[in-house]
Amino acid sequence: IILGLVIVMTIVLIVLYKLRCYKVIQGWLYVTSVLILFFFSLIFFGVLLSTLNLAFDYITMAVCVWNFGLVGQVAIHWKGPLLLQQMYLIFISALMALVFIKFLPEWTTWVLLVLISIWDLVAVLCPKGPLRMLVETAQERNESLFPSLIYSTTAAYMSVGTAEQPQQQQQQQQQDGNVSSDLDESGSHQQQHQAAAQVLNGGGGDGGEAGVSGGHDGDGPDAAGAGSNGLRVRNKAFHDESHGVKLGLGDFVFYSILVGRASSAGDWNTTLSCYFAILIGLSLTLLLLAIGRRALPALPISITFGVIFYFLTSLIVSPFVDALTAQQFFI
Amino acid sequence: SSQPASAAMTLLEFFGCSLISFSPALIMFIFTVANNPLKIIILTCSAFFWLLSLLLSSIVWFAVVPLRKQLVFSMVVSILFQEAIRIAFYFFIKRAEEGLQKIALAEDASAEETSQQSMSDNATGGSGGGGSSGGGGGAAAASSAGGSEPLTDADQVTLTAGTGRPVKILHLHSLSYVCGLGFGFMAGAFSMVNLLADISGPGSVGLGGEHEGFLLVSSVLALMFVFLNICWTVVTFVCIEDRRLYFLAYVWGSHLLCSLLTLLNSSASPLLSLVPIMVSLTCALIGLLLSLHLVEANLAGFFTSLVSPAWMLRVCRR
Repeated sequence: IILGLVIVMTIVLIVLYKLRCYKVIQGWLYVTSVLILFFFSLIFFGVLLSTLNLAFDYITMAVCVWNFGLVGQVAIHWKGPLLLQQMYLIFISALMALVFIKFLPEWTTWVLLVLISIWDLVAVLCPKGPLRMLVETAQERNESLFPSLIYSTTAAYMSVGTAEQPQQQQQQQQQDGNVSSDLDESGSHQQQHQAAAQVLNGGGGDGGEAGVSGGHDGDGPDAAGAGSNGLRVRNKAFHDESHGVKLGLGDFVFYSILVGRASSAGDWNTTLSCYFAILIGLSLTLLLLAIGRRALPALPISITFGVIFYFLTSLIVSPFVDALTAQQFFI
Repeated sequence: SSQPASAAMTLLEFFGCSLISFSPALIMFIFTVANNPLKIIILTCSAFFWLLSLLLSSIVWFAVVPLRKQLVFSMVVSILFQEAIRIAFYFFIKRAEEGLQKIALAEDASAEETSQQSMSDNATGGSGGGGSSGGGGGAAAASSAGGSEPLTDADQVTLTAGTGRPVKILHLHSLSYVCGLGFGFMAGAFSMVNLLADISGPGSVGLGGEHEGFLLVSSVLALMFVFLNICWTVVTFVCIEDRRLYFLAYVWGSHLLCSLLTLLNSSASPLLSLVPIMVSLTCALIGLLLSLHLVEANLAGFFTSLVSPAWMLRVCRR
């Protein structure tokens, strides 16, 4: 059921994109980001405070959440310091993952993860896959519209790199403009998908996957776009720009779901091993991206590794390690 | 009520033990690894490889059903797997380095073509794991010095030169140090993390009927093992590199010694746990001296670096 919803959402998004209904998409995205940033944060903080047994009145809570949410809105959809934007995106992904973990029974989560990764693989790599169409359309129109999954590391590298190069400042700003505009739309896309996910409980990963696949190929059009703006961009600037990897936010959601499920169901050994498995899966995906230079689904490899390691660790490794540490034997 | 007091007490114990075990590793990470993305990737890889070795050894433990109670057997097997994985990681890193060099050379070759093409090659080289040190031949030259230097002048120099010199992407010794850190961190983490989680719950000190030094002994041993892993990895890598294989005997011997001595921990007296701790300490010191000697670092310089952080930063920026 959920997979069907994801598929439907992807197709809807592609149709909208093809028909250039940007306003619709953007509006949807704003709504969902508002929803998440305000209401979910409210719920989250409420639960947090009740766990810590702290008393908090509604007015203070309202003020805090209002500020927090507004800053998040600004940071994601408009220009803001990159670190702040990244923090907010991570926070939102984590919130979404929490929602999924709370409301899905255990087996559903695992099956969902596996199915989504298969779908991701299929959608991106098959010639008729909808996500691939998305990527190719973005490339044809020479827009960096979809590198949206919008967790980009580009500007961070740029700010680090150009500390010593004042004459590159202008070019950097131009590229910053490029990147942040991408990020705006990507954020909104992601939000939109998440909104759909709330309603239909499955579309979030959809946008994530679209983002990832588009994201990887967005580097190429990005560089091309910046170059074609007539900038005499130095090698360094391109270095940084193309170093930035764009990763779908839906991917973050699913990784968080995996790790969250691991931590809630098992002991810390399992969580640690899942975490590292996901990291290694991600590095492998990036490596493949470097070799293949096409849009790649970020989900399957990492999720496969994560799931395999979760089950292996919880069934085999944990008893072993527990037996060892109970007696303080060190290997 | 007593709840905040007891919460504070267990929380104190939690922080105390975790800092005992992990703060040196954390500091080493912050000062030497955190600013170099390539090193972070290698750290993660090495941690993962240790995890693999643990997985293999636990499969063996699981499979050999009759010997499950006899942890000695599985410990020896695990040690063998760990060392094997260490050596395997060396070869893996060698292959990866060759791959990175090929990418760097390819970028050099295409540097004379249109700038955009070289840009996309930089993208692949960069995201191919070279991090800040992978992009372009210039970056390769910069990374021969360690990769955390600014890429600016190196870029312009090498992209025009376009030489095909094979350059080391990362110096072997700092690489082996990072690997050891990854191995050690993972080993310590897997031993400590469940303990730490239990500590922060209500009431510890003994945790299930053990003696009161249980947590302290565990944390200190975890700390020792982090250092030991670093030394072992450095020695192993240098040995394989230079083909001086007899030092490997030291690594294997001391690993077996330290681990098997922790078997003494099982008794109820905390004093007996001093033996493995002291022995591991000695082994760590010997290992440290040995690795420094093999790396041909200046011993006096190393000890001064411990005192003056600035020198240390310069040394470790290799």
